[in-house]
Amino acid sequence: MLHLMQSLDRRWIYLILSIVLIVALIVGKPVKPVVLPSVQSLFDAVEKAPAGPTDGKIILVSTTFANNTIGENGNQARAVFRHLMLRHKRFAVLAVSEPVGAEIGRIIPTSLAKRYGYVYGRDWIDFGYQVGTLAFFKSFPLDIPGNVKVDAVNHKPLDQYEIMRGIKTIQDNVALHIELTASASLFDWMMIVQPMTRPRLKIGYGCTGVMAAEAYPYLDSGQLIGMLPGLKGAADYERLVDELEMRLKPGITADQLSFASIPRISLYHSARYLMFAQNAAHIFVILLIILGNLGMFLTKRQAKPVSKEAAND
Amino acid sequence: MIHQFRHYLHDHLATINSTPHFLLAIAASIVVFAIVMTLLHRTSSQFKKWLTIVCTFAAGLFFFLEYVLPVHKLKSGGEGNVITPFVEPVSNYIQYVLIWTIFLGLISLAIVHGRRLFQRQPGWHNSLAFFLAMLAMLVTGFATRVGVTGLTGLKISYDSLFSGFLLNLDAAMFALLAFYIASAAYRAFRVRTVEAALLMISALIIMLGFVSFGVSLTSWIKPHSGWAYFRIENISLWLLNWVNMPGQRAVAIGVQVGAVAMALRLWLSLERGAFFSKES
Repeated sequence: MLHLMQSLDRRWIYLILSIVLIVALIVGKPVKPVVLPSVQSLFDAVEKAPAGPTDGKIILVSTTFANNTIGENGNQARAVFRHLMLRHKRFAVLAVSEPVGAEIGRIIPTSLAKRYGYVYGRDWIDFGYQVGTLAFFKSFPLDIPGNVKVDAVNHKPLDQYEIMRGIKTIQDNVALHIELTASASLFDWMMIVQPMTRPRLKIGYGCTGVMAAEAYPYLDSGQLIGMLPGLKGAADYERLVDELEMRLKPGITADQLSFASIPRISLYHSARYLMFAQNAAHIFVILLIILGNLGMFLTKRQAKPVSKEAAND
Repeated sequence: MIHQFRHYLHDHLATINSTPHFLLAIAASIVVFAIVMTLLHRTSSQFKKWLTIVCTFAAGLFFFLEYVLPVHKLKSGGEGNVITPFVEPVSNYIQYVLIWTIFLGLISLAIVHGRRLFQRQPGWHNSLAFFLAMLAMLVTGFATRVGVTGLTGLKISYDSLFSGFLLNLDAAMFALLAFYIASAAYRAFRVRTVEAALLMISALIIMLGFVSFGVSLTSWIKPHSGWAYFRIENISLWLLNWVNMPGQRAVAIGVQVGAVAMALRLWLSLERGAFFSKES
């Protein structure tokens, strides 16, 4: 038994984890997480960003991730876009050096636009895929329309769109940049673009869970205004957006929000819903760790008297 | 359909003057490139080695000087020095090289899988799947981009392939990590030493701080009381901000110092890779 506790076959672990996840996804409910300070900071920065229809500024959102991290980055993107649309902040989407991210960055706002009455070209625009060379990062901040030239949806020059009137540089016309990524693309924005602006461009960061630990120094230094760490960050942000939506639309109930109104089979439409499954998986991992250590301690305890006897012999 | 394709090319190559002169320039470029490559191919290994060293040093010097030379207001807008206007064309050159590598990759894949398919080697059905998948994404993706009217089936196919197939397969592959992590955590987090105990306790606190169940364990402590520091989510944040952050900073500084040393070795061609060792 003690041996089994210490060396459980990995196939049993895989099977039990599968069952835990499937059950959690079927019977789970949206969690109400305690919001991290870094998530609250980003939420507040979006609230304060002067990117309304008459402010002459936009918010840039980079969807520099592919399908493999859509569970984390995709849910972050959905929560951020919902917030921008709720507060009627004008925004542009782009994906630097990530062609699949450009596709995802178009799909998510398009799917939300109708619900929030957002019009393409007036309230938001898609810059699409951009090649992430040093030259791009050096020249894009100085001349946005000159570098992007045409939008990614209709392939028309940017000056034909209402949202782009008067938009020229990051210094003058970008209120906030939100980098949702699974790669090191944040460093291009922090090392090349941010020093080109005075005051420094505000950057929000959405990353995968494993990338979060290394970003804390940049939060502390103020280079990042806020951060969404993995699915937890997405769920926290979603909670804040859900509460805001219920405040702004007094008639709306929790059931009418995105996470509750969708069929259960469409799982990735709510980070709070998925967080329930992640919680279950974390608890399972914690139990496994305890089980392994308990087995080890009990084995040692049993072995000690035997070794003493052996020493006497 | 051909008309739409021509229209698409016209739209996307609008910045290029598609006159006979332009076509002649392309042809001339290809001929010059072929001649230069042929001549280079005939040179000695020693010459190629020195040419690589000189080009590497010149490229490094270009970006180094662009970074360190004093800046002033540029006529084209913004700030920069005498080298800054050339950064864009030089950086674009990197893209041309990358585009060639994509072609090389495609050719290499086609050769490997084509050989396996036609010779009916073991696993030939995987090669067939590779060709079918590539062809399907190429045709439907390109048709969607061009905007071929009357072929809505292709658009639907592309959406099905991308959103319904690739997206979920890619996400599923990555999700397998959860199973490996669970198994690895079970085997690795054993309290055999003091360091291992510290690591395990930290990991457990951070995991508990991120899940609702963990937070509920200490939710009886009032959030604004003097004891609030002992709530699991606050201990978790303390670990991240006061233990993890200095560690990350130290690692980052160490890595960057190492990167500078490595960059210097590459720039001055002190780093000998497989190429030079094989040639010499």
